[in-house]
Amino acid sequence: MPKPSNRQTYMKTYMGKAPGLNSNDIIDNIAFKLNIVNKTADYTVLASETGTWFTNVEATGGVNYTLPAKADGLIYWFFNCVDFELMVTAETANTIAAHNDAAGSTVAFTEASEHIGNGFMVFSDGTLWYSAPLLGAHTATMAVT
Amino acid sequence: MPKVSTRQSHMEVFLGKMPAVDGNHYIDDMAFKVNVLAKTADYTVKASESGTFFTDYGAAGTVDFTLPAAADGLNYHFYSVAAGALKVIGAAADLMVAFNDVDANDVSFATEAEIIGAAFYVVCDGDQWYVFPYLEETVTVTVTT
Repeated sequence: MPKPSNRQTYMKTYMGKAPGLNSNDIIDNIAFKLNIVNKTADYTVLASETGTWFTNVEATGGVNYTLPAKADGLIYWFFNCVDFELMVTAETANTIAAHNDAAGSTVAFTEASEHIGNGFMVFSDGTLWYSAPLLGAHTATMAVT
Repeated sequence: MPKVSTRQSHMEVFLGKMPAVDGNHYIDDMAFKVNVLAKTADYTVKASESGTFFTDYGAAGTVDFTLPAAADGLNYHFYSVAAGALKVIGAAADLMVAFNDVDANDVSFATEAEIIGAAFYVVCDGDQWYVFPYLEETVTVTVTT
């Protein structure tokens, strides 16, 4: 893993200003920081926010994130930092795949004492949303409607 | 989080064509979409598809994904949205690290009512594949040693 002395990351760059591509046109050893956005109230996610990790630090109640219109490649993460419900809602009913339900409408963490430290990764192929749970512990219960 | 009015994402760009790197040569606040591919039959994954999110959307039965030869940095997601089992198989035996097994051959979601909505993320260091499951609390991961 080459690392020129004048740079602080391992990623090759182009003109020192952009990620360089390897011979297969792939960004190799990508070095990046995430876009972290905090919301303390219900929020409708934007397509332009793709790649974002949403948190709810200091929310004083449940936070419901409504997804944007499905589009191929959109991806988001949602992480619950408070002892209130975290919910992710598809913009159209029955279009989010989740545990044992290929046509869910919402996914959430609703159980008392099982809120904090859980989250979801959600991505779209343009037809559906696909939700994958990020459990803080194997005992955490996710709800699908 | 700076956002130039002529652009729709939160990420800085270089020459309007590339993600820009910051002073530490990271891509900061990275905005991205992922490559999502559905497979309805058994499929051998390509190294050039690194970073892809595979689903089995539309599959009528089991779908087996066979990983490519081990190479440092390759990574893939596999999301089960069809009722049939989803399996991820190493290119050779004993190459996968999964739950309680450092030399597994394959991992799968194969238990009825515990398949849809589960996913695997697999990452390679050039020698082995490391398996990270995305699970609801009751989901069974089947590991073949």
